[in-house]
Parts: sequence; C-alpha cells; structure tokens
Amino acid sequence: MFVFIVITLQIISLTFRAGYIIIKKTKDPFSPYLDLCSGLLLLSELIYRSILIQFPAILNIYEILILLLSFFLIVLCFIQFSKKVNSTPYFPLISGILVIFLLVFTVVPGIYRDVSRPVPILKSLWLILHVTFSVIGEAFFFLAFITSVLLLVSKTTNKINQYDTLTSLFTIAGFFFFTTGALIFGAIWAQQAWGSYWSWDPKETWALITGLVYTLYLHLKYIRKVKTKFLAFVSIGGFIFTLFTLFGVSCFFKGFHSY
Amino acid sequence: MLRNLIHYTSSLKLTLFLILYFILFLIIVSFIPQTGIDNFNVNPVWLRFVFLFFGLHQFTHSILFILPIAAFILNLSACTIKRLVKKKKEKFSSSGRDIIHIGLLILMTGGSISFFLKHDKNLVFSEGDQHVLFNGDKIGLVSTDRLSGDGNNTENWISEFTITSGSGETHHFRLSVNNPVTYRGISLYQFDWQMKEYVYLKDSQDNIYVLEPGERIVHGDNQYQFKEISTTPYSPTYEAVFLFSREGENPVEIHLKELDDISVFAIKEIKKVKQIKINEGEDPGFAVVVVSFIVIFTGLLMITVKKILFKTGRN
Repeated sequence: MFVFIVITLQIISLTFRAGYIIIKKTKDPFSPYLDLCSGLLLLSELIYRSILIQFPAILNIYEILILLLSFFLIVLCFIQFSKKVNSTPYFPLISGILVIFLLVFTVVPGIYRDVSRPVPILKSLWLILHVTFSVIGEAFFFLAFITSVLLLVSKTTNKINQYDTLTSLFTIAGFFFFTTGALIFGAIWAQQAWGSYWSWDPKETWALITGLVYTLYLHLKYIRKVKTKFLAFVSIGGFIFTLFTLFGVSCFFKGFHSY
Repeated sequence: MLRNLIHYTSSLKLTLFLILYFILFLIIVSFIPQTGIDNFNVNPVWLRFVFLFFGLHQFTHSILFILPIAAFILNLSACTIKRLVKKKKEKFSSSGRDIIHIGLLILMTGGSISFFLKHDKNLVFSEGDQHVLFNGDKIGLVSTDRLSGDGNNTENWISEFTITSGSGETHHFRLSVNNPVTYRGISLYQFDWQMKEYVYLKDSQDNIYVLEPGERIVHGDNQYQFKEISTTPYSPTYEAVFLFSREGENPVEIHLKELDDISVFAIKEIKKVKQIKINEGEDPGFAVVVVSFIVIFTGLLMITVKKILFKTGRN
C-alpha cells in the first residue's frame, strides 16, 4: 500500500524537478524531502512485512527491489542536500524517472508480492547481512549508472568532470558494499549453510563477474587513467551485469539460490 | 634479472588482460553444464568435442582456468612486492590498495589449499546405518524426520546422529537445514531426504531379491514392473503396486500384500525406509580464506572512507 503513495510522491517530485529545470535551470528545494519521505515509506513497508512474518522481509524479488529503491532514494536525498557533492539538476531528474519506472514495475500483475514466511534454508542472520550489504552496493551501482549515462550525453568539460567524479565515488561505495555483502558474507554463509564457501553456483559466479567488471573500472580509473567516456561505458556494462546477477540468473539457471 | 622479472610480471596490462579474460571466460562457462563426462550432453557434436577437449565440462580443472589463475597469482604477487618496495613512508591511510592486494594473495593461498587438500564424500544413511568418517570415527544415524508445514518442495528436516570415537566416547549431534555440524574439522551437511520403497521377493530356494520402483521381473511372456507402495484404506499395512503385462497387451495394475505370490516368487516384505544423504567434507583452506576476508574488508573500508569522506566533491 505504501508503494502507491510513494509513486504519487515521486510523480509530484518529478513535476517539481522538471518545472525548476525549465523555468529556473536549477535544482528544486522540495524534491530532496519528497525523496527522503519516499525512501522511509518504502522502508516502513518492509518493516511492516517483517513484523507480519516475524523475520526480516527481504526474501523475494519484490522485497529486494523495495529495499534497493528505499536505499537509493535515501542516498539520493543526502546527495542533493550535500554541499560537498556537486551535481547538476538533471541527475535527480533522471533518477526520479527511473525510480517511478521501477516502482510501477513492482505493482504490475505477475510479480509475486505475497508476504510469506522464509523457507528453513533462509532462516539465518547471514541473510540480513548478505542481502542488505549487496542491495546497498547495487543501489550505488544504480547511481553510478545514471551519472555514467549523463556523462555520455554531456557536452561541456565541466559537466563531464562532475559526472565522472560522482561515478567514481558511487562505484567505490558500491564496490565496498557489494564485495562485502555478495562475496564475503555470501561465502561465509555458504560455508555455514552448505558446508562449502564457494561452489561456483550461477549466482556466485555472476556476482564474481560483476565484481570483476567494477575491479576493471577501478584499475582503469585510478591506475591506468583512461578516458572518462570509455570508463562510463565500463560502468554502464557493470550495471547491466548487476541487473543480470540480481534478476537474470534466477530465470536462466538453476542452483543453490533457486527457492 | 629479478628486477626484469618483477617488471614484466607486475605489468598493469597483464592485470587488465587477466581481469577481462576471467570476465569473458566465466560468462561462457556459466552456460556450459558442469557435469561428469558421461552426463555431458551438448549438441552439436563438434561443440561437445571442443568443450571436452578444453575440459570446460569441469572448468576449474581446465587448463584454460588453471594457467590464467597461476598467471594472476604471479601478477598480483609481483605488483604487491613492487608497490611495497617502492613505497616511501606514506600515511597508513593510503595503504588500502596494498592491504587489499595482500588479502587477495591470502585468499589465493586459501583457495589453493582448498583446491588441493579439500576432500569430501557423500554418505547414504537409513535409520540405524553406520559409516566411518575420514578420521576413523564412526557415525550412525539414530533418527530422521522430514518436517511438514512449509510446503512439499521445501527442504526441512532434522536428523539425530551419534559419533563414536576410537576411544569409545560417543557424541550426539543434530543436523537440520541451514545448520550443518562441524566435528573435529570435518563438516557434515545433509542435502537430501527421501522415502525409499523396497519390495523383497523370495524364490523357492529362499533366495532374496530386492526391487526398487521401476525395476521389473520377467517370466516367459509375463512382465511385472514394481511401480510404488500404497497404503490400504482403513489399514496400516502396505501394498506393493505392480504393473502386470503380457506381450502385446496393455499393462494392468495389481495390488499385492506380503506373502502374496508374484510369478515364481513370494513377496517376503514390503518396506518404506527413510533415507538421507550427507556430505562429509574436510577443508583446511577455509580458515585461511576467513583471514583473507578480514584483510580485504579492512582494505576496502580504508579506501572507501578515504575517498568518500575526505575527497568528496574534488575532481
């Protein structure tokens, strides 16, 4: 039920953002608060579902998507408030459009949204650490994807440099959370649950591939110092792999992560 | 000569090439079934030949995986040594990358120990069965139950075990889903639970034959295929369901109890047995891998904190 309220808030926010860009060519002062409210409402939805099942409600694609969007919106809010992070008004505008698209995706028929208790294999503290850290990392990769796209369409050197800085910051933050959550905590949980910390399960393999793509990005950025537009393509590619790891692997492969 | 060796093996181009190689290689092998050679069914035939030739049906043992991993370890070691030797007295906060590299080397060490020294085997138990573990102790299944209430396809079971050491000391353990047991460095993980059905047949010379579902006996033109065990209505006794057919005729279902005759045999016993499968594993590399995780996490945290908190906003 909160999702529909959040969709409404985001549409209002998008209207403010677009209006301010057209009329004043600046960021609007209201959208950060709407983003914060939206993020907290989505978190509330998850807390409500968790109370119903007496377990953290991060068990299916719907709940993971809600968690991802809530982190995304909260981080987006702080970025807009931050005086240290210099971003253009187009960044929150594009972010808002994509958030609405993903929120609508969560309410279409066919998506499994039932509140269901966890199967025995998921009843572990490691689920919370593994999934939460991974999703925070993926939220930062999502932000890096948006700034990479804006970098590619920017024409002035100043804007390209701004977006490049943001992309690298988001990638570093995302890399820390994703590596810690998906790979490290995932491996420790696998040892505890399955008796083997790495089984080349399809989800594990594709999480490793995603980590390698961002490792490539960081080496190219900070050691090789390649051109920013090429780096933007690497970042976009990394996010495509992130999406495939999150959604595609479950559709195409069977493994330990199939529930 | 050592300097030249370190110079070439620590090349960034080699690092980038290897990262790209593993990205592409892992994408490809994730679509190739990782089964033994007997079960490797890939079409067309030429593609199957190519995959088998390069060992891609078990890619972790393939030369296309092992050689690049060795090159990666060499490259990583050379880079780490080069950076540490060249490093002037810098602040501790700028050592995040080196800490990650050292962590990765420890991870490679742990992974190599696991690759060469890890051994495991699957044990099949019915209630009352015993097996011998790697260390010589005996493990016996006391009881096992599949718990209901979470859906038919959900793994949910509890098994009670005893492990008796050579000195006669007995320990009791419980295995459940998501809760494997570690006993003196050996991990025990239950991965299957099923009800096995058996029919015991006896011939005129008292020889015993065991049939499992799908198996059959043939006598002349008559064929009896054991299908399943069913429970009779209003009675706890079992019935064995057979499919009886003569040549050229459609099969007919017949229900037989213990002591009934079937062809030249008599049914001695109809039995349902709870059976579980356990993986017994010993991996000395895991402890090393955990140390590597701590080191890598520390390095990542240092870099993230430095970049995000102290350099935010600067190009």
